[in-house]
Amino acid sequence: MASSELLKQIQAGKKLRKAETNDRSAPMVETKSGGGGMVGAPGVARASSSPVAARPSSGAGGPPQLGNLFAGGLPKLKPAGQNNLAKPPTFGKPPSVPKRGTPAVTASTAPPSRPTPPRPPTAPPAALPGRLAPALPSRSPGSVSTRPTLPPRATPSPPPSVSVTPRRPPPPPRTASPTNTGRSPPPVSGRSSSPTTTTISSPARAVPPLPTRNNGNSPVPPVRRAHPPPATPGRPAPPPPPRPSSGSTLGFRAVPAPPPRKPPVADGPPAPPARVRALSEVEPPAPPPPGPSPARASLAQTLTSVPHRPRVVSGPPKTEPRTSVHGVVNGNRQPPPTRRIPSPPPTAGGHTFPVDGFPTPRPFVPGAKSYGGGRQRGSDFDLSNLE
Amino acid sequence: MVNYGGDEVSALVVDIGSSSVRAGYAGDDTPKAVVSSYYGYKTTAGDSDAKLYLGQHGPSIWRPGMEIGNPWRDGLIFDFNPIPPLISHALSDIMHANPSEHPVLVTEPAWNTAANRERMAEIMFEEFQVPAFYIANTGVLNAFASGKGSALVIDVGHSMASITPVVDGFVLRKGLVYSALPKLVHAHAKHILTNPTPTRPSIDLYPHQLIASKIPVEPSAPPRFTLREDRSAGTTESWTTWYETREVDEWIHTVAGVLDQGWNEQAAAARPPRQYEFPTGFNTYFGPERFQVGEEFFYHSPQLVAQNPNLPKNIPTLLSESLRACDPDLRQVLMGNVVLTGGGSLFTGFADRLENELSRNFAHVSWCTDCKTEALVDITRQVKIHAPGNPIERKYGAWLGGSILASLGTFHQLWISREEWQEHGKAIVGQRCK
Repeated sequence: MASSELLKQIQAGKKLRKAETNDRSAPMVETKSGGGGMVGAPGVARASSSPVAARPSSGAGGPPQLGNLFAGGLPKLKPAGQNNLAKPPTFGKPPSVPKRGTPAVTASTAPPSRPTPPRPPTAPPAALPGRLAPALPSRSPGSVSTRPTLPPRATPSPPPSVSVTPRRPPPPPRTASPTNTGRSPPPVSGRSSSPTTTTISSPARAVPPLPTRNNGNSPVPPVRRAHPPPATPGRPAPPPPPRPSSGSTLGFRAVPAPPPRKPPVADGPPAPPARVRALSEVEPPAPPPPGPSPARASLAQTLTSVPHRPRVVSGPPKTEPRTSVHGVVNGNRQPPPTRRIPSPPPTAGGHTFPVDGFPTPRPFVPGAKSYGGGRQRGSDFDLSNLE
Repeated sequence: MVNYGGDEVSALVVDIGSSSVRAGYAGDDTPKAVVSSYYGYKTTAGDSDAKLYLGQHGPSIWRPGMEIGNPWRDGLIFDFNPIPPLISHALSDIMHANPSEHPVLVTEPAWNTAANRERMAEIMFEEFQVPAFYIANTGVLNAFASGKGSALVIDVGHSMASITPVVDGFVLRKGLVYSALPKLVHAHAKHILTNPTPTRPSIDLYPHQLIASKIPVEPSAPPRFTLREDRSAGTTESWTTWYETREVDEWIHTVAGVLDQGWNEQAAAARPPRQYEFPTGFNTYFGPERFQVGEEFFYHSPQLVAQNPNLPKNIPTLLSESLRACDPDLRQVLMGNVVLTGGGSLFTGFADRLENELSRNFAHVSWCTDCKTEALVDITRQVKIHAPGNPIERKYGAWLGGSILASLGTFHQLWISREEWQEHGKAIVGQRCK
């Protein structure tokens, strides 16, 4: 009977189910007497005569099912913090992606916090325990618009009216305060457009159609401005304004135009921010032309997959200045992100990152890329052979 | 081969022992039905297949003229007549399971005969109409219950104590030894109880079913009780014997122990006594004599041996016989995987004593025969005993092994299906169930 696989399975061990039994084998003594003086036969013989009900699992005591699993009481689970993440983002205001460690979105407090604080960061940070905590505080005092405040995650964007408001001020490095206001329009516009367009894929920040954004920038901005950054509890608005200036420097996504942002809020924007939002990092506020589309698309996908992070792919909104680029980019992609992801702060937690001086991105060449080396395909295996 | 897709249909596992029949669903961690193998019957003038009184309403309910029987004798089933009623009581009356809908795994002792095996298969297929059947060895199942494919299974049961070397799921026949040691221990215990000692009189083992009234008494004071006159006439001798056996067993399991270092008067006296109360109301503390009971497993006095030529072998004797028959290198494996099982092994101190006996006598032996290496072999090539502390695992080890086995995917190809039985007949049992 002992094939080797059988033996292996035996040795691996098998967990058996707990079976319900009515164990009446022990005597039904209510109190265990000192020397274990048991009287005669257990209750079996008494079954017919005695009215004593059989005590199931006598002696062992308690429900045996759980063993000692809950001996210390049911464990109290700590709230994960993202109660509202499941809510579809109301994309009035795309959650600001804490590129630079902007305050993490605090799910629960999203809407409320948004409009409130002039220092949005303060609100979100509180709401979002430890998420991107560091980022927020530093942000707060700064210029109004500079701090992109992450709207509570759960509520990616309050209703359009609100959304406009909360738009996160672009991260400090991103733009100088003055620029912020100016800048905010673009991202805001993006954002505001999102609610209107309703294209936002639910949790992820939908990428509002770029063209809209681009076009709507001007009209929108004023609206945007109406809602000063403070309102933006959520993600900092992607810093489109800075974008243009830093466009050239945007060699890579991860550090979207930091320099321009920097000036307004030179103080270290939230330290670890960028890390937390890996996704956000993927979506540079103004990714290089070739980069952005695929990145954005993937980002959008990743974003969608993260329901509780209604971060909007920053992309388009902030790529205000690079309208041209974005126009191209957007054409390739689905709706561009409604919000712009703020670029990470130049200093974070003792580390200093370069925020400018990046080489120009490669020119985008649409079409299949041909690689040197001879092979144009990964392998010669023909998939149709698998039929 | 019939396909029983794993989890769809649970197999039934029926472990038939001399003290009880355990039955339950494969995959469960304990049998749902534990039915005493002792049954009551009345010999009416007429057919002997009169109604059998089984289970909890069986022997323990006094009935006039009821005799008690047991299908086992000397470690084997000698009477298959009560087996179907016992099994059906367990499966249908207690578990409410229909055996014709489940594959059934039955156990057998390692020394079972081929005739018994085939008879069991016949009962299951013909009487119970099971769709699939397998009969497995209790030694192997005990090893499996401990998660081992190879083990030295020391099984101390109700009527037999056996040592079964299992290697890769097969019983090593030449190393298989067994003896009726538990019966000897039981008889010795009864002897102790029923004989007066300097400290106490002999104890009456009257069952409570026959006691009309009793008065609580102080420890060691003579009992004060009255018997039921109306029942004394209808009480059969076999019933009395049965009850006394149970009472002694109860006493043994409550009170008896084993000294872990061998018999030592001082050590025995140093241990705290245990109290026990009998149905008559007599209660007392038992001191050193309770260790004499357990000692009987490991040591037989020379006088005893001289008086009884057919004395059942004690455990050290069994061990040496078993290990001697095994290859030296196999011994290492076995000594490192000793599984102690069986309800009779639940004595306090049993596992420790066993370990001492093994290390003292056999680790040395195994090393010596292996002296081809000069290096000082460290005797941590040692004895590892797997003795589950949970009484369920000890008493129902074979059943647990069957539960595990019947719920494994790789086992499903081994079932004997009804079609195969009809096609090949009895021969297939010996062939498939090795």
